[in-house]
Order: sequence, then C-alpha cells, then structure tokens
Amino acid sequence: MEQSLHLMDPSQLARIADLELLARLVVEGFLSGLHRSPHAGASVEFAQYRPYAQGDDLRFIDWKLFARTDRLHLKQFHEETNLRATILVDCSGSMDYGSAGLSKFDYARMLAACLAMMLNEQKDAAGLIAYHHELIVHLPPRNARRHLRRLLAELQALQPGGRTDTPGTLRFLGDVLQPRGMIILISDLLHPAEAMINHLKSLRAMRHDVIVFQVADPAERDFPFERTATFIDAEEAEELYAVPDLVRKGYLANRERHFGAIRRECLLAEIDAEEFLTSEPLDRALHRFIHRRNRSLMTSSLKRTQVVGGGRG
Amino acid sequence: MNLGLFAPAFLAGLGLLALPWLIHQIRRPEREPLRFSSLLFIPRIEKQVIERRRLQHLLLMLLRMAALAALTVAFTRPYWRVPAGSPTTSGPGLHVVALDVSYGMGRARAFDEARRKALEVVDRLRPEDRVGVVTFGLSPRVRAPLRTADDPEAGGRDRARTALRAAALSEEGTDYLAALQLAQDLLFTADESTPETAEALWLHLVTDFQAQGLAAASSSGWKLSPRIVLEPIPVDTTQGVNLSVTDLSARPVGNEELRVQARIRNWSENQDQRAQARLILAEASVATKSIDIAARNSTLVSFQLPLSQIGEVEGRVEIEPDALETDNRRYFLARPLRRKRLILLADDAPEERWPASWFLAHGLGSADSTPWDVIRSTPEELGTHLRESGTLPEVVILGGLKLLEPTTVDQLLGYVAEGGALLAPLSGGWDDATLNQRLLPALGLRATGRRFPVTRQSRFDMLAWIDFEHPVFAPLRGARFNDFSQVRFYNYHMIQAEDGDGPAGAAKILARLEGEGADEPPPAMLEIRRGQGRLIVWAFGPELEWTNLPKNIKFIPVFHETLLYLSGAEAEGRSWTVGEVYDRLPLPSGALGTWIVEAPSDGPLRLRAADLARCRSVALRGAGFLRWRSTDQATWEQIEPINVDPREADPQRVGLEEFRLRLTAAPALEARSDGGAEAEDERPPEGFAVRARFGPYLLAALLGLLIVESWYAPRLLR
Repeated sequence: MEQSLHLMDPSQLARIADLELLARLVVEGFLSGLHRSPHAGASVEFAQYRPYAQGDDLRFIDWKLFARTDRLHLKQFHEETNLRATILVDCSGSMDYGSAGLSKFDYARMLAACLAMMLNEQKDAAGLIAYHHELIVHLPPRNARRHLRRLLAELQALQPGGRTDTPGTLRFLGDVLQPRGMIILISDLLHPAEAMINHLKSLRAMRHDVIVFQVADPAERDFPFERTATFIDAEEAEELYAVPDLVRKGYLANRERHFGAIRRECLLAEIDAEEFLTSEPLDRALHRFIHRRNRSLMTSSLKRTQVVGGGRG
Repeated sequence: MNLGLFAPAFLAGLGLLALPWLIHQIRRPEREPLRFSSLLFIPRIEKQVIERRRLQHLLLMLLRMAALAALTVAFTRPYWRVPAGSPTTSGPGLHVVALDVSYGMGRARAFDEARRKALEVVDRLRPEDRVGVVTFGLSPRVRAPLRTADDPEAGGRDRARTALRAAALSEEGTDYLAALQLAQDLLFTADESTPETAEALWLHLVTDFQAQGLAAASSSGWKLSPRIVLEPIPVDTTQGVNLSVTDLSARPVGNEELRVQARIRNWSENQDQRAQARLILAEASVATKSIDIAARNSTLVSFQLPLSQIGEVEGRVEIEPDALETDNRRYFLARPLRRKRLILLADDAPEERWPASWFLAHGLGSADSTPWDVIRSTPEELGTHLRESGTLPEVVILGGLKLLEPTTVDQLLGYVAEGGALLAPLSGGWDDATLNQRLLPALGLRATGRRFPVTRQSRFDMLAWIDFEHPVFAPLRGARFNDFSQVRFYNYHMIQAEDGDGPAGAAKILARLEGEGADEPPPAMLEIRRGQGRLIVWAFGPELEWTNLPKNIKFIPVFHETLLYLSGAEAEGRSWTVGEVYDRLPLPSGALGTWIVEAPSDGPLRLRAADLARCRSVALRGAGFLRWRSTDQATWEQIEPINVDPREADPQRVGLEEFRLRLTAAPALEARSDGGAEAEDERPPEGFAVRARFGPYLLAALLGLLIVESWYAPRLLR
C-alpha cells in the first residue's frame, strides 16, 4: 500500500515521460480496488414495465403479458452504457504555474490521461479538446485502442500558454457534440465564472453529464508568500506590487467567493465539481471523486437512470 | 575642531555604506518579480500604502547604513580633545593634584619627576580655576586647600606650588583608596556649583600606579564619583636594581641563643644580585654575611648570638644602598629571655597509660629548650600556685582533670579576668552537664552533646577550616606546614553560643571541624576574651580515644604556638609598620607626672599624664623605634620597632584601565605620560589632552541599531 501510494505521488508520476504508461499505472492500480463500474456491460437489460400510453412505440409492448393479463404494458430496458465522454483540458498560461515543481498543467494532463484510460478500459468512448484562447486539439470521442494512443500522444505534445477562453470552448462544444454525452472539464477556472457557468448550464440542458475538475496549486489555496514582491500574471503579463501580509486576507476571501459561486451554481445545475490539489496523489483524488459521485448516483438513482422505450422523456 | 581620531585609516571603511544601498537596490520589491497564476484575487494596494512601504524600506536602509557607520567610526577610536592648558571649554574648574609620596617613589629620581609633572599641572591651569594639593602614602594629607589659582588674595597657584615643592618622600606604603576618598571629599566640599553652573571637578593623580596600592580598594567596592574627571599621570619607578629586607624575626633558640633571621628579596626581573647583610646592635655592627640572590627571588640570612651577651637592645639588619634605600633595613628589638610561668592543672595518675596530662606535659618540653617553667598542680593546690610570687602565672593549662569542680572553674575564671591566660582542652571525660554547669556558660557557650554517640577509631572528623591569619596558626601557613589532613578527631564536644547567636557567639574561631550534617561546621578551637585575660578552648581533650593529635607531628607546633600566643610573646615581638597608628599608649594605670614619647621622624613629644587621656595614639611616620618613659625614669618603659611596608618595594604596576576599573566610575583622561602606559597611536596631538572617548558609545549605538534592525527588518520584509 505504501509503495502504491508512493508511486501515485504526483511529483513522482511526473517523472514518467510515457503518458500511456503513467495512465495505465494509475488506472490499473485504481481499478483493481474499485467495484464494478456502473457503466460496465453493453447488454440490453430489462428494467421495468410501464402501462401503455397513446403514442408509445408498439415494438416495446409485451404481448405475452397482454395475453395473460389482457392489459397493454411496455417493457423498459436500461440503456446501453456505451458512454461518449469528452475531456476538456485547459492549456492556458495560468495552468503553467506550480509552486512545488509540478505545474497544474502537468497534473491536468495526467488526470486527463487517466480518465481516458479508464473510459477506454470500460469500453466507453473518450474524446479530447485542448484549448486556451483558441482550440488546440479536438479529438471526437471514440472507443478504440488506436484512438486512445493518439489521444495520449496529443496530450503529451501539449504546451501551456496564452489566455483562457473556457466559455468559447464550451460554446463550440455545445455546437459539435451529440447530446447526452459526458463532458469533463479540467481547468483552474481562473477566469470570470459567469459566462462559463452559463455555458455549462446550456450543456447540462442538452442532457450532457458535466463534470468539472478544478486543478489548484497549494500556493494558490494558501497564499503562503512572505516577502513583498511584484506579482506577475501568468496569462496577461500584468504586474501588481503586493505586500503578502496586507493582501492575504483579501485574496483568500476573493478566491473563496469565486469558487464558492462556481460550486453553488454547479450544485444547482447538477454538475459535479471537484477540486484537485496538485500535491494530492492522483489515485486518491480520483477515488475520492468516484466515491462521492457514486454516492450521489445512489441517492438519485431513479433520476439518473436513463430509461429507454416509450417512456423516454 | 575638537574631535580627533586615533586611527583615521579606518575611515576608509565608510565605503561599506554602499553595501546596504546596493542590497536594497538589488532586492527592492520592484526588482523581485514573482510569477503567479493569476492576479484575479489579489486586492490592489492603495498608493499611499505603497509609498509608505517604500519609505519604510528607505528607513531600513538608512538604519543599516547607520549601523555600519557606527561600526566603522568606532574602529577609528574617536575622542574629544581639549587644549592641554584648559581642560574644559567653559567655566572654572576645581583641580586637586594628588602627589604620591610613598617611599616607592624614591627610586632613582622618580620623585623629582613626579613633582615636576605635578607642577606642570598647576602651571597650565587657568586663572579662574581653583587648585589644591594632596600628598598620599598610606594616609593622605591636604597640603594646600582649594583656592582660586590667580586670585591675589587666595593665591591658590602659589600655595599649590609651594606645597608641591615642600612635599617630601615619606616612608609609608601606598593606599589609593584613602587618597582618592580624601581628594573627592576635598572637591565636593569646595564645590559650590549648582546644576546650571556646574564646575568641572578634576583629580590629577601623579603616581607610579603600584599594584599593592590597590589592596585596600579590592575589598571596599568604593568608586570615585563620575562627576570627577581623573587624569592619571604615571611616573616610572621601575628603573634600577632594588633589594629589600622584607621580613625579620628575632627569637630565642633554646635558652641561650638569639636567632635573627632576615629575608632579603631581589625584586629585579632578570639580574641576580649579591648583597652584604649586616647585623647592627646598638648602632654597632656585630656581624656581616654575604649572600647571592637570584632574580625575583629571596634568601634567608641568619645570625645567632648568645642571649647572655644582650639585654634589651635595639638592632637592625641592613644591606648596602641601592636604587631604593628606604627598604634596605629592618629594625627589631632584642629582648633578654624572660621565662614564663605555666601551670599544668591535672589530677590524673601519671602511672596511667598515656593519660591526657602525659601528652601535655611532654609537649611542653624541657626547661632547657623552652622559655617557660612548668608547675604541675592539682585543683587543691591551684589557689596557692596562682598567688605564688605575687604575680600571676602567664598560662594555666587545664589538662588531665578527672572532675571539673565548680570551685576550680571559679578560680580559673577569676584568674583569667585578672589578666591570665587559660588553655582549656575539654576532656572527653566531662559530660555536657559538667561543662554547662559553670565553665561554658561563663564564656557565653554551651555544649550540645558529643559528635558521635559511640567513639570508634574507624569513624572520625578532620579539621575543615583553619584561620591561618591567627598568630597560633600563622607560622604554619606555608604549603610545607599547613597539611592537617592526618589529624583525626574520633569524637569531640559540640559547642554553640549560649544565646544561639552563631556557633560561638562573640568567641573567635581558630579552627572548625567537618561535622557533616550540622548547620555550620562546629568549632574545634575558640579564643575568648574575658576581663583582662583570654582563653583558648579546644572542643576536644588530648586523650588518644578522642584524637590522634597528641601523636601527630602537628601537635608540638600548635601547642607551643598556642602557649606563646597566650603568654604574650606575640605582642612582645610585634613589629609596627610605618603608616600604622600606635595605640598602646595607655600608660600604667595611675601614672602621674610628665611622659616622653619619642617617635621616629617626629622627635620627642612631652606629654603630661593628664594629656594621655586625650592622646592615646601616635601616628607612625618613619621607620626606627618608638620609645616612651616617664621623665622620672632613667630607662625607657617601652620600645617598639617600626619598619616600612616591604610590599611597597614590589615593582609590580597596575595598568591604567585596571586602575580605572577598580577605583573609578569616572570618565578619565588618557595619561599624558612621557613613558606612559598608552600606546603611541593613542596619544592626542601635541598640546591637546583627551577629554572623552566615543568608541564605547558608538559600539553601544551599534548594538542598539542592530537590535532595532533585527526587530524591524523581518516585519518590513514580509
């Protein structure tokens, strides 16, 4: 266990140049300790009966039941779980910040690789969109080993820089994606939240399952600086003279206000939002997220169960 | 410009001031960029805050520059100087010139030089200054009171000059404490200034800064007032070869010979010397011996004379003249042997195996070799022996009594009160009740039991402390004789003061025992004065069951010295020192008529008996003999030898810094010596004197700046 945890230390993982190997290391270790995925299996599985209503598809009427009971019922099935997930990776300059060696971008890249590997292992389709102020990479979701390799290669080749335009990317995504997929946004969310929230809500309205992974550096969370210095913005090249002792309180309050609003809006829009610190082991962070998500799925299983058949809608 | 620097080359260090400026330029916040992911959440600081911050950084830089400047300037050793003729810049000053006239200043022509320097001080004073003169050896004297220098009526300068020219060397040693105290009193008495018109108080000390002159100051803790500026003016008195007669004893050896032993010391650091020592009796040279003395060493020279040839005669041992002549002779009084009468009070049977009295009797020695006649007495015979021949016996030894009867105790205490002396070893056979019945309560003491309930040879105490300053133990003071570790006490009486005031009340403790577990080490030997006489009490008896002292090699010396002390031999053989006060003038009671007191250097004084009530002491100002007698008598009633203090010849000198440290709390000027103790580079320019040094203040300022910096910088740099 100790050995496994040690290997999952982000700074240790970052030394592994091969992203596929890295992702496999994390995912295999991670999956071996996990229960069966709720998305596993593509077989058509009976869910329940529902009384026939006008307009329902006649193909789903259970005629044997009609023969026994003289009533029309529809058979409902669980949908096939071939998921189409698109992973958005923020490659802006702000992601290139790391107070302890490992940058947020490195962490986000490892996280994206692990997620892609997990999806692929579960026979789900994974796509990738990398962006800053413009789109860098766009790989539509596909479920193929070769596609995964390409996705990982694209991730490997990414370089952070430039300003962020998450709302624009989400708008683009809304235009190109087929409905009811999964969208995983990996970003530090260091930009005005309102436009991004609106676009996330739009995607949610399109019945996409939206997950937001906020990647943060410990220094961003605690603002531990002591010496007076000129702070330089990683994206805008803007400079600001600051005395840490004087501004720390305001900084922490502003940050809490920003991310508090995002979390609140996400909660209202049924968007899962999770903060990942770059100092946190990847597998542990994923484990925490999966558990939390499973728990929320259990409590709202009926709502989240997608029913196919005449009752759609 | 009154500011001077002893080491101006260190001013180059001011270039270091650029360092804080450079560091602040390199490390200013504007030049310390810190890349951060986003400035989205960092609040903007107001411009005033930034400006204040910059000002604070500037202040920190100035603070650091000031610290470096203080350090650099401290290295240059700055001082405040004043023209040599006018030591203060404003207002008249009070000046006391203290001239050392101890005999140590008599080496070569040092005293002439000292007088010249003292006159120079007087000459350079301003007309409105007031000046006085003090001369000092052991006892200081005001030679000229403080008077305005050039006031025609006061004539302070002329008086001072006259006093200095008239000053002569004394034969005294040196005591700086007394001299400085007198000078301070003189200045403070004459100082009429108010705080607004404060006059400068100056003490110009012309001396050779002899180390032994600080002996009295070491234990007093007194310091010269900080109001007084001390100007030390050293005089070199270490030139030339000097030999001294430092010690002399004249004691009978047996009953037939007088042994005169003198110690000749060669004070030279590196020259061995040969000396001719002459013994002179009644101004006639009777013997001469030639001795070689190594550098920084001493040699004993001994003369032996038949006692039958001499009565009471004045004598001296002297050596040839050298650089310092005053210490070349030492006086003594050779007295004819006067046998003492001792009573050994004992009733134990001589046939007993080693009774207490056996050891005491044998310890007394034979009449041929000791200056006393021993009478063995029983308690019943005591009264008879005490009144025998009309005079009291010199000492009674209470040894070997089985029973201590109250009547015997009363007789002994009466004898002591009349002027007798008693040696009282407390026998092991006496219990507490016996001791506390009469003897110890009369002495203000009481016995509180024995040290050990059972006496065993395997368990014992040793002497824990001995007063080697006391005449009984003084001869055993040296390293060759002071080892008492083999003397064991298997038991002894625990003695306390009767009123609980310390272990022995008013008694003087000569030695203490270990007495582990007791509050204070219990006394082993005590001296008590009672009436005209005195007692020495031993807390143990001389029985072998209680102590091995009687069998130890230390017994005879301790026993004999105790008897010599009790019989008054110490007082008879005492030598007085120049500078002391002779306080034994209370002449025989009922003395009438006129008396002549003759003291060296003072000539004969005629005193009427009525005057003696007021004048009971004589200050001893010179070496030689003090004599006194009634005009009715043909011979002197008493003759006392007086010698100079040999320590004055010691060439060891004390540094000016140490002198200041031990005797002054005052700002002191640097010595304006010609061959002085200050380094060449610490002399002010010709015609100037140093008023004050700033180095210590700058270092103190540096320390303060560093403290402020260490407090301020971490807060500011956050």
